[in-house]
Amino acid sequence: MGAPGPREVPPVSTAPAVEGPIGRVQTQLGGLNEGVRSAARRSRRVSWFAWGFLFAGITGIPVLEVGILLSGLTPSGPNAVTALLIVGGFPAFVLLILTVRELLVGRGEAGRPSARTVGRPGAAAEEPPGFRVSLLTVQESQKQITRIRGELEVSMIPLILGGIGVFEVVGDLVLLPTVGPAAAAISPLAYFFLPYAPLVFVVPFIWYLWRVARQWVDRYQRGLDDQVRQLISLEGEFLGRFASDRGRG
Amino acid sequence: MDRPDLFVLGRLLEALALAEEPPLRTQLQQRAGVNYTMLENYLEFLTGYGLAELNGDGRLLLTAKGVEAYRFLSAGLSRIFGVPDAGAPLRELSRPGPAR
Repeated sequence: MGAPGPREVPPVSTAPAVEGPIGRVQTQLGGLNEGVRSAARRSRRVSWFAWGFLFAGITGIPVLEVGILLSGLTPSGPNAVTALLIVGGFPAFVLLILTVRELLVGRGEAGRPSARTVGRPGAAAEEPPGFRVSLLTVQESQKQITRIRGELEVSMIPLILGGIGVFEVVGDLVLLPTVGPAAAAISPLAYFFLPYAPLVFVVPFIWYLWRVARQWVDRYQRGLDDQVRQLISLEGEFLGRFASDRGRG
Repeated sequence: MDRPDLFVLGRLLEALALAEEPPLRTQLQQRAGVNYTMLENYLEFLTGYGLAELNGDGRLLLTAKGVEAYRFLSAGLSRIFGVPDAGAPLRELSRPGPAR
């Protein structure tokens, strides 16, 4: 739209509703609900994948042991190690990758909570929510995000336990047969400590995942808290300035 | 009316502000997406507080106070929700009438 000029004959408008900044805000608010629902779905998936990872880790260890017993393989052969790790560790590995993916995608979406529905066909045709409904929507979203925070924090438990199990197996199957003899020459205690050596990687890895989860939730919470505070303040300021008895007439 | 809904007010102000020409009640009702009863209540509010007025043809116009109210609300909501406000055309500012 250019600078205001002489009035032209306006075309007959067939648009059912105006779409200025306020209209766009309302369209965006309609998307907020869906954004938070999407976050809840992702958080649920993180939880399932994390517990699945633990389960796959727990069941993977007997698979490895039984594999050794039945086939007569020894973990010392490189081919045997590869085969056993693939059979026993593949499900846990896949579930861990899926967990990390959901966490990263969730964190990415949190920066744009309503982006999924802005411009969605049919969104503008829906009845736009009123101020109270919108405020309730934002407040309801806050509660949902608090629940998601709890769910993500609980999901860290199976990730830690599963991580300990998986890394311990890696220590058993990879470090012990390869570095073990050389390390035992230095200290006989090496056979005791080597299987647990990869566990040092669990701490930074879980810390990283926990940080991603926190950033995900914090982005939502910060945005929603600000929106609620500012909406209430804007309403009070608007009514005081334009709809008080002083301003009547 | 006890406490007007900010978004309904905003939609009505926006419909008046962005209209090519002053709308009739039914046109305003369609553009703002409100029902008839709500429109009547809010029109009473808008005219009562000097934000809008009816001309002789039964068309609705924003007053200067109404334009200021729309700008205030539009800028505030745009800031809160990160919606661009810079392009909001306020055609009534160039329109001769009560808005000037």
